[in-house]
Formats: sequence, structure tokens, C-alpha cells
Amino acid sequence: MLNSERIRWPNGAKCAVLISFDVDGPAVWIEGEREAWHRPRTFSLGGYGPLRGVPRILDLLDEVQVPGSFYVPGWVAENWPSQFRDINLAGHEIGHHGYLHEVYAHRTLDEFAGIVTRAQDAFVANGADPAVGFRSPGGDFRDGNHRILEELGFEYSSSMRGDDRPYRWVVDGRTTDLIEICAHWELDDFPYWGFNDEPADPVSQDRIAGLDWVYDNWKREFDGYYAEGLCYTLMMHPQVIGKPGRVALLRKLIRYMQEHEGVWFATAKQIADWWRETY
Amino acid sequence: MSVQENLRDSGVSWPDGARAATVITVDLDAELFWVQLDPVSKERPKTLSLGEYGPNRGIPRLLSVLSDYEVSATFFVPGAVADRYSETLRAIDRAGHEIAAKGYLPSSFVHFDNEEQRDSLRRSIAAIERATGKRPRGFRSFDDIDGSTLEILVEEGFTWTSVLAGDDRPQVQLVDNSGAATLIDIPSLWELNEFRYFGFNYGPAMPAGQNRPASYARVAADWKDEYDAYAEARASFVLTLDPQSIGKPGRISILREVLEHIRNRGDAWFTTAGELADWWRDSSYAKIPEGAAEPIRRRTIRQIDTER
Repeated sequence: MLNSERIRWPNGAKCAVLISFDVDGPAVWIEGEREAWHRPRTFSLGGYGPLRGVPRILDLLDEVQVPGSFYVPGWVAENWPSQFRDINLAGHEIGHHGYLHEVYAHRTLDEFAGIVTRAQDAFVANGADPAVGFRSPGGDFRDGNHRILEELGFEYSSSMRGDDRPYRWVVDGRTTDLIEICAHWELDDFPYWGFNDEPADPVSQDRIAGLDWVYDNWKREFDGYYAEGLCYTLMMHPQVIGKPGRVALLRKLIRYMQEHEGVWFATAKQIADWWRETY
Repeated sequence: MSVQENLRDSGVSWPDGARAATVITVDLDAELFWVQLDPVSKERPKTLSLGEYGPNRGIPRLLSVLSDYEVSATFFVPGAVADRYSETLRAIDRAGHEIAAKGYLPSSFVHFDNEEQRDSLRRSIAAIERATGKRPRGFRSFDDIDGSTLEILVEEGFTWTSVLAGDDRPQVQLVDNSGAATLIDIPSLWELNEFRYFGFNYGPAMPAGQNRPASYARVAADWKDEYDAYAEARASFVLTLDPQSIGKPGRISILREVLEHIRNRGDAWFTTAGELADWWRDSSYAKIPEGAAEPIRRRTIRQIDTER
């Protein structure tokens, strides 16, 4: 689709906004060499997400009447079952995010398929439907992952960075019904605010970003996406955005977006379904 | 902020009484930026997609803003990107912008021997000619250069570079036996390089320390302050942008804001790097300035070699 071509959104909406959360919990600190199993403080940093972040976010989404897409590792669903059920019962979408936030670039395709199934089983055991949406945890995935997702019946992915409107995945040269909804580092809370001293994250131990500056960046991006009629994807983590001051920032941003006419707040599945029917 | 105070004026009389020669330069490395950073990126579709955003979405948005402000820019394109995105290159060329070379792959000339440098330059010239039918005259390296690179560039037909960082106006690097300038550098400075503020990825990590992406408002304010001070100093204001980064729907607002500011002041000479180099060569300023870094580097190295 050319840049000059204006996207048709449902009911004449001017742009789409996806409010999404990766409910990583401590799992994000476990993948790789991070050894959070043996570091209670680091573990608790992640645990803040499901324990405090998720309820605060659910309250906010209820207040502003906006749906969210929550990508939850299977292990998090098993260990924070009441928060997991609350997300599901509130009518938000639950999507796939590994079993323990595995980086798929480091896993074989067979391992990948096993992880996907294990997490789906965790969702079903905790009262949710199997996910139809997939977000690759942390770093990169590998060629071939999306062929397996298609075979397993997934309907969309939200893992790439290369576009500001949805598109159809091309798998083995075939254009498929698997839709991609890209995210972007500048619309992710972790690069701005994620922090730990040991293991060090970020490696440079750079200072935590200013609330006002992140708000301004996200607002400017919204202004651009709105003007051009694109798909604005906020990708956040309850352990990061779920702090009192940052949830207040998110409330202010959503209120700002709601002042605009024709903003379609939708789950990723709704956006993917629309795209598949329309394009 | 009073950055304009007590600055030494360059004394340069830019065309039409302008206060600052102003050049927008663009690095179009696309996904090859990430492959160069770490070859593992070749097997990482998500990381590659960061770079693919540049030609696919960033370039059209950038061209549209440049057209709104009637600015002709200079695009530095690795030969491999010219081959892969030849239609994009033709669109840039058709819009009246200048296209300059960056080697074939975005690889470091520091680690190339002379033959490898020549080979990379020749292949990059051929790729840009294949796409646009025009031979590039200017060159920017991906990172630093080798001690022999400047001479090799002249021998391969280049007349200007945008590689060095030791000045805030064009600087003659090489002269022939008659003292006429054979290579002029248009310096590109880190604080005016957009990708250094915003480029980001977790793995492979960029920046290596995974420092925070900067504030859009802060960068826009800094660049406007810098421009004001450049105009006060009658220097040349050279911005460096990467479409995979500045070309985002919101980030492009920084460029609009800065161009709007410069246009409202009405004292810029908007030009391309190649035009600026040509103008400088034909002006009375086309001399190697006293204290320029490159002659001192060469002299000292010879001295060290002699003493050894």
C-alpha cells in the first residue's frame, strides 16, 4: 500500500489506536542470562506488573472505556490467575507472548511450536480461549516462525517494526490471511523507563527518561498517525507503565486522543479482522 | 538561552547576504545499517524491518516535507541499497535531490586496504549510475576513514566529502601542485545527527549501552538554538537525518519545526553538499585553514615515522 493511499477504517474513523500491554512479569528478567530465579529483588521488579500494574491499568481502561490487548506469557497466566481472569472477564483481548518470554531467535522451530502450545494450554486452563494473536517476546524471532503460526491457526502477529499500517504476511512466497500489526520502539515504554542495577538494564545504566518528554514524544507520534490516518500501536508493560505516575500519563494521553474526532480504539484482533476483510 | 553571544564570526559572505549555508543530508542505509552493526541481523526479520521502514515509509514522508519547504537535500546511499531500492533512488533523483556515494556496503573503510576501498567506491558509483544514470561526485563514509582514503577518493573522481568533523564550514582537505583545492569536506557534526538521538534496538543493541531515545521537543529546541547560533557565526548548518528514524509519523514533526523556524528567519542559503563544495572551491575561502586537523595529523605522523 502506497504512502499516499488513505486507509479506510470502520465507520469512517480517521485512524486506529491499539493500546497493548506485554504482561511479562518476572519472565522478562529470566530469559537469557538474567538469572532472576535467584535474585528476589529483580524477580519482584517484574512481579509488580501483574500484582499492581494490571489492576491499575484495568481500572484506567474501564474509566476511559477503551479496549486493550494483553500479551501474557503462559507461566504468568498460571501464577497470577486472578489478574489473568480479570483481564479476560473485563472483555480485553488476551494474546500469545511465549510461555516464559522466550526469545524465539534462539529456539528451534520445534521448540517454538512446543512453547506456543504450552502457553495456549495455560490460557485454556485459566478460563480463556486460546489466543489468535501473537507478539514475539523481547528480541527477534526467526524465519519460519510465521509459517508455524499460520498452521496453528493464528490470525495476526504484532511483532515487526517496518510499517505504520497493517499488512498481510507473505509466507513461503504466498500472501496469507495472517495480518501483521507493527509496534515501534519509540511507542514502547521499556526503552524509556525500564531500569535495573544488577543485572544492569540498560547496560549503560542511563538515567530514567522524563515523564513529560515521553508524553510529548507519544503525543507527537499520535498527531502524525492521526493526520495521516494510520495505525498507532502503543506497546507497554504493566511493570513499567503501571506505576502511579505513568498510569496518570497514559490517562492524559488517552484523554488527549479522545478529544479528536474519529479515533477508532480497537483490540489488535479487531484491527486485524478489519484489515483482512478490507484489504 | 544566550548561545548567540560572543561567537566568532566566520567572516564568510554567503550568496545573497545569507547568514548560514544550510544543508540537509540524509543517510539511506536502510536494513544494511543493522547488518553492518551485527551480521546476525540477516536472520532477524524484525531487526531488518527497522531499516526497511526507511525506504518504504520514511522516504516518501521525508520527500514530502522537503518539497513543502522547497529544499533540495543530499542523500548518501550505499551501492547495495541503490541496487535493492532503485525505484526509491529514482524518486529521490526525480524530486531534484543530490545523490552521493557511501561505499558499496555500509562497511568501515578503516579496515579496508587501498584496493578494497577502490573496489567499494567503484561498485558504489556503478550502482548509483545504474539507478539514476548519474555519477556521484561526493562521498560520506559509514564511520571513520583510513589515512589513504582522501587521496583515493580524488583518484577515483570524487570532488567532495562529508566525512570529517573538525569545522563548522566547508574545509579544503587536499590541493594540487598549483594550490587549487581538489577535495572539499562538508563537515557533519554529531549534535546535528538525528539517528544518534533516536536510533534504537535491543538486539543487536543500538546504542551499545541501550541509552534512552531522546525527547523530540528537546532535539527540536536544540537544533533551532544551534541554527540561530550558526547564523550569528555565519557558519554552515549541516543536518544529518536517517529516514528509518526521522521518517516516523511523529518524529518528522521535528524536521518541520526546524525548517519552519529557519524559513521564518529568512536568512538561510539552502543548498546541497555538492553545490556548497563547488561554491567554496570557486570562492576566495578555498584554502586549507591554519590549524586544520588533517595537515597536522599528517605532519605529526611523518615526524613520528622519521624519529623511529
